[in-house]
Amino acid sequence: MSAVKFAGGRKPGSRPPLGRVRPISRNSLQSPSLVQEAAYINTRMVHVLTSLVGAKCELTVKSGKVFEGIFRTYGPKVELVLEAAHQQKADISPLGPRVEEILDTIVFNPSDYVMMQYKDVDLNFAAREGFTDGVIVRRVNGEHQDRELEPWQGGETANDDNSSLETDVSNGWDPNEMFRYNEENYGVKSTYDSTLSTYTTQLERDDSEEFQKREARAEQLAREIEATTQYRTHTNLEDDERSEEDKFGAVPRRITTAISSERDKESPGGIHPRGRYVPPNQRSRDGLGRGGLRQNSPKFGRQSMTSASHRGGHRYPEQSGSPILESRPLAGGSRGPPVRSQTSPSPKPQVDALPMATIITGSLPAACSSGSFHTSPPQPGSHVPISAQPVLLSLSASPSVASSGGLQVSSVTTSPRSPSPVIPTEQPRSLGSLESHSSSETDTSGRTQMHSPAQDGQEADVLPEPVMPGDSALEPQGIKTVTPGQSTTTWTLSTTTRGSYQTISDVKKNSLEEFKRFSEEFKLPDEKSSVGATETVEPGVPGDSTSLVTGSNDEVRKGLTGSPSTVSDSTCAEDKSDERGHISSSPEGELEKGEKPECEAEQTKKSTLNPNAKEFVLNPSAKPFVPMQKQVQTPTPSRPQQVSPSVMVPQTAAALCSPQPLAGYPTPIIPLSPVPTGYTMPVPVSQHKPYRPSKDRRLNIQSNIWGDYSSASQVSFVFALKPPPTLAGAMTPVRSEHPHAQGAQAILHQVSMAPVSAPPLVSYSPAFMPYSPQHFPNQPSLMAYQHPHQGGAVYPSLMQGGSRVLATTQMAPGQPGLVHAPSSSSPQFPPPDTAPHPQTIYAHPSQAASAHAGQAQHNRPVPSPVQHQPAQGPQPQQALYSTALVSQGPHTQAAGYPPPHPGQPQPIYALHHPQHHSYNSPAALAPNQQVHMQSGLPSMGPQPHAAHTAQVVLMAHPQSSAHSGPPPPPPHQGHLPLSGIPSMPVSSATPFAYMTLQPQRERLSVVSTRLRLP
Amino acid sequence: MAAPSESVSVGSRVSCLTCLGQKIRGEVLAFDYQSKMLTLKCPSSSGRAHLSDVYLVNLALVKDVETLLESTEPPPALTALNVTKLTRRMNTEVGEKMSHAHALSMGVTPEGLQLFQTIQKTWTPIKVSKHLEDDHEKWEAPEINFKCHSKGIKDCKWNEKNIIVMDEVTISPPYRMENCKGSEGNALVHVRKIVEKHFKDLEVQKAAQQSPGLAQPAAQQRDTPLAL
Repeated sequence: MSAVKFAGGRKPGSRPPLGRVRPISRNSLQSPSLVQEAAYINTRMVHVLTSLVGAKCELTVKSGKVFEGIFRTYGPKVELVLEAAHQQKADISPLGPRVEEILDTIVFNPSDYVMMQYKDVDLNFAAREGFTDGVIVRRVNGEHQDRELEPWQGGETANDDNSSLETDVSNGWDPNEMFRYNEENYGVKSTYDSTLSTYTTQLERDDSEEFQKREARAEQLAREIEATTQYRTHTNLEDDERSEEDKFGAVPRRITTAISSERDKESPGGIHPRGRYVPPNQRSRDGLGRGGLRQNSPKFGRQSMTSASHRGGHRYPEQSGSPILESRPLAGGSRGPPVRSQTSPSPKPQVDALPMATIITGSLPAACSSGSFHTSPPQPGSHVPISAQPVLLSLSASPSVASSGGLQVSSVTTSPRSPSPVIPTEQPRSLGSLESHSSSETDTSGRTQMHSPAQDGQEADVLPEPVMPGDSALEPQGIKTVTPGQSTTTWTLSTTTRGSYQTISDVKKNSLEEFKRFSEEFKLPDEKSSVGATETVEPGVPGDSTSLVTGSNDEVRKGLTGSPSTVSDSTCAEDKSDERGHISSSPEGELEKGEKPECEAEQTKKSTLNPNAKEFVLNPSAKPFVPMQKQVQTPTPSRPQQVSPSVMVPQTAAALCSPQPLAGYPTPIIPLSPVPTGYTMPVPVSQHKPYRPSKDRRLNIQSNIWGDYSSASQVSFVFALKPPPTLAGAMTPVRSEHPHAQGAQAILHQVSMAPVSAPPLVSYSPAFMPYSPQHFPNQPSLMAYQHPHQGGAVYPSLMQGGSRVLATTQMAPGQPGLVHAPSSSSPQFPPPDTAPHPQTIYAHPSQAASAHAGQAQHNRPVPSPVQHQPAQGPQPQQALYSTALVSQGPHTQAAGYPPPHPGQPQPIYALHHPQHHSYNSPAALAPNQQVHMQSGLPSMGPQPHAAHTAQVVLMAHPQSSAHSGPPPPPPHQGHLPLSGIPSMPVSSATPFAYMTLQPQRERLSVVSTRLRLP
Repeated sequence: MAAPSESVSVGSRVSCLTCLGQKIRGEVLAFDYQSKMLTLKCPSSSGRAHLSDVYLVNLALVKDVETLLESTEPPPALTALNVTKLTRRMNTEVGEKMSHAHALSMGVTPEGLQLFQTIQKTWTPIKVSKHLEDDHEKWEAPEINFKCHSKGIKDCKWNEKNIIVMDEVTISPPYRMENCKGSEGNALVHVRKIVEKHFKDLEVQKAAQQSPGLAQPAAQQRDTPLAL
C-alpha cells in the first residue's frame, strides 16, 4: 500500500470531482479512448464518488489492512484520498484513534486497495435540498433538459368556455336600457353623449382644401406610422392569432409552433396570414396589380391632380390623396417595381403615385432611408414617397410611367417654389400632357429627343404636375404610385427625388409658372441635350431654369411614360431634371437609347449619388432600397457617357428644386442643382432624351446630366438588376457618373438640408455601396438611392422636403441625422455658408457654386436664396427650399467640386469619375467641367457629393447645413482632397468611414471647396 | 480474479469475491471499465432505509464477479450535487474526528467523550433546524453555512479535559450536570438539560441492554431532538 501525502489533499492535475456533476451521458460504460481522465469521463462514477465526499469510509488494502478515514476526493485513475485516516488496529481504543494515530491525508493508488466501504451513507445527501422556491429554481434554472415539459391537454374545454364568453354579446345590459332603468328607478338621468363632445372636439368635416390637406396629412401620418417596422411588429403581435400559450408558453407545442413559424414567415412578408394586418408591401402588391402600366398615365393624371391638390395643401394634401395610391405603390415598389415599369410604368406610377409614397415608405422603410422617412414625421415619409415615386416613375417611367413619375417629381420640385395655385392647374394639365407626353415620349421620347421638344410644352404642363408631386404630402402619393410601376430601384430613386421635390414643392409652387416656362425652355435644353452640350442647356436654363427644370422633369416623365427605351432617354433627362432618382431610372432608358452615353455620364454622377446613399443606408434600413437596386442594375448597362451633361442638368434640377431658384434659378439652377436632378428624377430628363433636343438648358442639362445620369442610371440600374452586386457595380458607375454624384450631392444637400437628407443618403448610399461593401445593408437602400442619386437631385429635394417634414414632425424619428438636419439645418447652414460646406452642398455652396460656374451662376442665384433658407434652416419650407437650394448650392459647389475632382481624382471617384471625367472631358472639360461643376455639380458634383452627401447625409443630416456640407465632403473628400481637404481618405476608403467621418470632413471639404470656389 | 465483463450495466445486482475472500453483493451504481472500478450499493448495515452502504471495488483485485440480476431498466438520472454541502460535510467529519482524537490524546474519559459527542450532535441539529427556519438560502451560502455549522463545533470544544460549550458553559470532569458552570443564562440551563438528558439516556441504554424490552423506547428517545 502506498500512501502519498498531498499538501492540498488533492492530487495535482487531477480534476476535482467535487462540484455539481451533471450527467453527460447515461451510459455507465465509457469509451476507453480517453485514458487521461478515464475516471472523470465516467459521469456515473464521478457522480457516485463525488456524492460520497465527506463520508466516513473504510479502505481495505491488498494486505488486508483497513484504513478508516473520511473520503476527500479521488484522482483520474481513481486514486483515493482519505482525510484524517487511521489504520484500524487492535490496539486502538474503541473510543477512537488518538491524534498521533491519525494521518492528515492519504492517497491510495488503485493498485493497492481492494475495496472501499462507505457505511450508512445517504446517497442523496448532496442532492437533497430544501424544498423552497429558491432551491427549486436553482435546480431547474438552466437545467430544463432534466425533464421534458409536456403540454397540458386538458385545457380545450376551458378555452371553449372563454371563447363563448367573449362571443356572447347578448349578455349584459343595453346602455340605453341601463339609462332608462336608472332614470325610472333612481331618477338618475344620464348625460352620456356618444360624441363625447365634453371630452373632445368634434371633427368638422368639410371640403375645404385645408381640411383635405389635414386629412391627407393624417392619412399620411397614419400610413407612415403603419409602415414602421415597430408598428408592424406590434401589430403582428396583436394580430398574432396564436394563443399566449403558444407565444409565451414554456411548453412547446410542435404543431402550433410549426404554424406559428409559418405565420412568422408570412408576417415578415408583411401580409398577415389571416389578413388582419396588411403590411404595406402587400398593399403595394395590390396596388401594383391595380396599376396598369398604361393606366398609369391616367394615374399620372391623377397624381398630378393629387399633386396639384398637394400643392394647395403642399405635401399634406398630396399625401392625403395618395394614401390609397401610395399603398399600392408601396406594394409595387417593393416587389413589382421592375415589372410595373416594364408593363405600364407610366400608368401605374400615376395611379400608384400616392401609393408609391407609401410604397416608398414601405420599401424605404425596409431600407433605412425609407424607414427614416416613415419614421420621420409624416412629411419625411411623404417626401420619401414622393421621391420614391419619382424614382419609380423614372424607372417605370423610363418607360412611360417613369416619365410621368419624373414629371411629377419635377413638377414637385418646381411647384414648391412656384406658386402652388398655378402649379395645381398646371399639374392637371401637365398630367394630361404628361400622359400624352408619356405616351408620345414613350414612343419617341425614349429614343428621340425630338419628341422632347414637343413634349417640352407638355413637359411644362407636366412640370406642374411634378410640382404637385413636389408638394411633399401629395407628391408622395403620386410618387408612390409611380414608383410601383417602376422598378424597385428606380422607385427608390424616384422616391428620393420626390422627397426632395416635395421639399422643393413649396418652392415649386412658387415657381410653377417658371416651370412652365422652363418646360418651354426645356425644349431648348432637350435640343441642347441632344446635342449633348450642357452649356446650351444651361443658357436656356438660366432664364427659365426652373421652368426648364420642370419642363425637363415633365419631359423626363413623359419620356418615362413614353416607352422604356424612351424612358431611358427620358430617364436621362429625368435624371438630369430630377438629378438622381429620375436620372437613375431614366438613365437606363436613355442609355439604351442614343443618349445612353449622356445618361451613363449622368448615371455615373448618380452613382456618386449612390455613394451618398450608402450614408443613407445607415439611416434607414435599406431594405426598400434593395429592390431599387435591382432596378438600377438593369439600367446600369446603359449608363454611360453622358455624365458631364447630366451633371450640368443636376444642377439645374437643383436650381429647380430650390424654391428660390424659381425666379433666379430657373434655368441655371435647375440644370446645375442637384435638386433639379431631383426634379429630373421625375424623369423628365430621362424622358428628355427626346426632350433634350427640344428642351433648352434643362434638357441639355438633363441630357448632360441625364446622359450622365442615364449612364449613371444605367449603371445604377445595372446595379439594381444585380441587387447586391449591383450596388457595387452601381457604385462604381455612379462614381463614374460624377454628374449624378453631384446631383446626388445636390440631393444630398437637399436632403441634408432637410431631415430628409437621410433618405437621399440612402439613395446615395448605393453609390457608396459599391465603394464600400460594408454598406450593404444600407446599400440596398443605397442602391435604390443610387438610382435616386442619378435622379439624385430628386432625392435631395425629396430629402429636403422630407427633412422639412422631419424637422417639423419627425425630425428625429427616421434618422437622427435627418432630424438634426431639420432642426440644425438652419444653424448648420450658416456654418456651411461660413465655410463649410461644401460649397456645393448648401446654399453657400450654391452661391459659391454659382460664382464658380456660369451655370452655377444660374444656380447661384437660386442656390443662394436656397442656401439662405437652409441657413435659416429652421423654417421648414425654407429649410426645404434651402435644402433644395442647398442641393443646388451643392451643385454649384459641385461645380467647385468638379474641379476638385478633376484635380483630385479620388480613388473612389476615380471609378465613377472616370466616367465623369470622360464625360467632362468629352463634353468640354474646361467649360463643361465648370458647367458640370456648377450644373454638373449637381450631377457630377452630386455624385461625388451625393456619395459624400450620402455619407454626409448620414452624418450631416443631423445638421441641415451639415448635410449639404457633409455630403459634399465625402464626394468632396474625394474631390476635396484635391482641394486639400482631409476627407479624401474617407471617401475613397470606406463608406462607413465616410459615414462617420464625412460630416466633419464634408464640412471641411465643403469649406475648402467653398473657399476654392469663391 | 476474474476478468470483468465490459458490460456491467448500472442497476444490475452483482456479487463480487475479492482477493481477500470478502464477498460483496449489491446493486451496481457505476462501473468504470477503464479503471476497473465498480461501485456497489448495499442495504445499510444499520438497517436504516434511507441509508446504504456503498462499496468501491477494485475489480483488478477481485477474484470473481457474478451478475445476479441483469438490469433491464435504464439507469436513473443523475442528480445535481451540492458541492458546498459535500465540502461542509467533509470538513465537519474531519473536524469531529480530529477533535475526538485530540480529546482522546488529552486523556478524556469515555464518559466525557460520549457527552461531548452528544452535545455536539445535539447542537448541530439545532443549528441546522434554525437555519432551515430562517432561510433555506443560507444553506446555499457556503461561508454562512459553514460558519453556522462550525459554530456548533466551536461552541463545543475541548479545553484540556473540560468541555467548553458556547464559550459560556464549562463542563469539567466527571461531566455531570452539577459540573456545568458558567454565567447564569439560557446557555447554562440549556447545557444542563443536555447533560441531564445524556446521562438519562445512558441509563436507559444500560437498562435496555439488560432488558431488551426497553431498547425500543430508548432508541426513540435518542432520536428525538432536544426540545428547547
